[in-house]
Amino acid sequence: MGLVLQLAIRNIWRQRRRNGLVLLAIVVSVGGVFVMNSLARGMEQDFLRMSVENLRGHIKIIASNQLDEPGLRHTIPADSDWSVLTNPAIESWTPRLRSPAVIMSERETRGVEIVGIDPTRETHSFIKDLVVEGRGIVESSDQNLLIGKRLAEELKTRLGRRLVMLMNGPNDNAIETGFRVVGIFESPSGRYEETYVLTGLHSLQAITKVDGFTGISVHVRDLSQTNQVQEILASDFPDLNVITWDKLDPFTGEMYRFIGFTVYILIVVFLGTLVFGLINALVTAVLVRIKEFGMLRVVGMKSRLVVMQVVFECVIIMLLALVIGLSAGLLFVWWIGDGIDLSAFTSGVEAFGMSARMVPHLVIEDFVILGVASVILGLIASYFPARRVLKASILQSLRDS
Amino acid sequence: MNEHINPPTSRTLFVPVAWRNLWRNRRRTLLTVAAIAVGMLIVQFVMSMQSGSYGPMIELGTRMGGGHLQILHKSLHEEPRIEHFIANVSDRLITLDETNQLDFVSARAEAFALVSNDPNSTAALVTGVIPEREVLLSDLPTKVVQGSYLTDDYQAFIGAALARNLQLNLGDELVILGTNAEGGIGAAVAEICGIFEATTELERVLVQISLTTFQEAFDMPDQAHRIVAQVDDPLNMDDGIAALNRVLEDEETVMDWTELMPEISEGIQIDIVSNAILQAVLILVVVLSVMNTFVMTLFERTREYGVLFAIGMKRTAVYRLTLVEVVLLWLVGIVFGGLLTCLIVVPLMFTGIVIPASEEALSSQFAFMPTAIYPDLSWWVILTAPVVIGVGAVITVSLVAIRLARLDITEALRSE
Repeated sequence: MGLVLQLAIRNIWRQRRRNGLVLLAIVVSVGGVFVMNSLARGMEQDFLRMSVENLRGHIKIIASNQLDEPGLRHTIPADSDWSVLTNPAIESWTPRLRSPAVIMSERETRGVEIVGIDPTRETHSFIKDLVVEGRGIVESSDQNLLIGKRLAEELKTRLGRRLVMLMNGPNDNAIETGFRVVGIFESPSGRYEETYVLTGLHSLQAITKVDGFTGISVHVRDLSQTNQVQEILASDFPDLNVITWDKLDPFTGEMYRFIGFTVYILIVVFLGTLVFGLINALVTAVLVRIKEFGMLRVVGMKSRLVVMQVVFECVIIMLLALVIGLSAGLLFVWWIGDGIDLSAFTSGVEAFGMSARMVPHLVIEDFVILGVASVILGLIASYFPARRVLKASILQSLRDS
Repeated sequence: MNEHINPPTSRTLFVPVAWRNLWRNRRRTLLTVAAIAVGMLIVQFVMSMQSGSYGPMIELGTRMGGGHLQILHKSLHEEPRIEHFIANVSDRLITLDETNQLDFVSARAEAFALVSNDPNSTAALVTGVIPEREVLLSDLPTKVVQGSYLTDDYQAFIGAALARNLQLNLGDELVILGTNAEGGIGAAVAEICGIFEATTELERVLVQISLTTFQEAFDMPDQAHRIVAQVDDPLNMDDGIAALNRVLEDEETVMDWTELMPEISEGIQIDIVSNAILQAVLILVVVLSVMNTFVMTLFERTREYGVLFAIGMKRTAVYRLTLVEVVLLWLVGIVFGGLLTCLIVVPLMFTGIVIPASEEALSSQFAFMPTAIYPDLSWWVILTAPVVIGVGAVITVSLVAIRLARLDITEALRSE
């Protein structure tokens, strides 16, 4: 056994050029598949992120009629027992008070959605990444207003100006109130800039006389636990509506499923490409050595040991190629790190839940599948051709050109 | 090395010699052919899948929304106000019916209004449609869960969420109150004939009534806001646009779905670019793998080349001979690749690749998602793989040729 291993290693080194080529082919396949896979997974993640960031969270707790009638009429009382939200599966949660509103400057009127936030808790929505001119909402009792750049342009207003807001109160009473603009935000998505205006949660509660929230967004630590956590929360809040993001945003949910499915097909194709690259290189490498194997058998080496030697050689090359290929892939993924900016090819607007940036995403399972599949394929792609070659008679093998 | 070493004396001899060389080592040739064919299949499969996924996305968006093309008032898209209407609608629809560049046409009018069922009321987007035309061009009529779609005037087709909010049932009366183009009051009473389920937003705000009822209520004789058209191919709408332009009046414009629903076309654009990157990596992997096969088989023949040089064949002639061999190999490869594509991808163009449906997708509410992807084989998709593989093969041979030129004959003859 040890001897065969030694022979295999020496053989690899003896045929440096050929084995170098095989190695290169496998490195390119493994590395390329790794990069493709991480980019495809990145697209999938991006879709999810855009939907979740849009003030949804992975799971949302809302009053039961809130979906049919968004606004202040259906709210969750603030003094409910929230202790279940300390569940270790939950990474963060944030309550918000949201209402459709009409906003007026001296010149223009627009329909928007006012969102009362607790800035210390906004760790996962788009709000955390905003680029703000002026200042953001710093505390829950902040009485000022943060608006989007596009909205500011449409309203022909600027920092420091006052805006009037009209909304329907909890009892269908009209609420009219003034806000000072302290910040103008820019976000990757123009839609956020047009739709949302932000203020402090407590101050909005005081203005509307609602001692509660319209919804609570929950972020789970591990996406695969979403449904589990949803069940726990749903049983704990039987009167409230506890919904996962894909049910809340069925369009994106279905798109995510659709993209996920295409990613799945892509991964199957990538694995196919890998198989194809591997088998091609290894089979060619075995078939060009028929004469050599014939020689080994002439001098008395057992067929079984010849096969073993070939398999050893392949597995060694395979492992080496895996290490180099995956490292090269990792290096490349690390190099593109922040992603490939595609905005030059589009009109620069985030749309349809996709961002104009392609960010790679590593999924450990895919990694492992890739590695294990490669080694198994290496075994198959060397064992069968070797065995087949050794079935031929020694004389025939020796005559092979 | 024991046959066919007559050095070719003329160019015409290269092809038969190369052909014989290929079949002299059948196994090696078949392996390379397989490499080319499978590589081609993989690239064509992925590219056709991707280009086939846009059709459903566009159809999905346009059939629930604004159609492929619209005639509308210049200012309506920016400022959706009732006074930005278009006139002479019925005559123009008849004219457009006769053009064969458009599949279906219809007209719609729209206004934000207060809808109520005492004591409940809410704001809604009231749309006037021509029911018998609407069923041909929109998917909304198929989303009915109670009652039926509009059949007559003074009827209303509303979403399930709105019905819950206003506590409306089939047969109940809905009061519509809005402002007409002159600033006067526009009002109508309609009986609920059907309730639909779609996205929550549509369900909550959309009310459809017949265009005639709308025109009567808002005092808009023979007027509407949009003429909506569906064409055969949403990616090639020039003829359709020309047809609409022929009936265009002052202050009007023609817009297509890419302008009306930029989120869909931008989504597709981003998807095209990101997939182009994925495909580039895929093609690179496939081509390098085919090139590798070529390099290995050429190196294995070092001794044979040594023999050819020894008996006096010129190195350029050997290069040309090898090149002819590679081109022949490539040709055989792409023929087999084409066969594989015909056997595997073409049937999928008819059956589609079924997307496993989630529980929700099966309910009528979300039935607007595509349930299958149909690969689409365009010329671009068909040609990319063979061309790139061919170029890769020629580059490989040329690289090997550089080595051949430097080859020492005695050394070559000694190689295994």
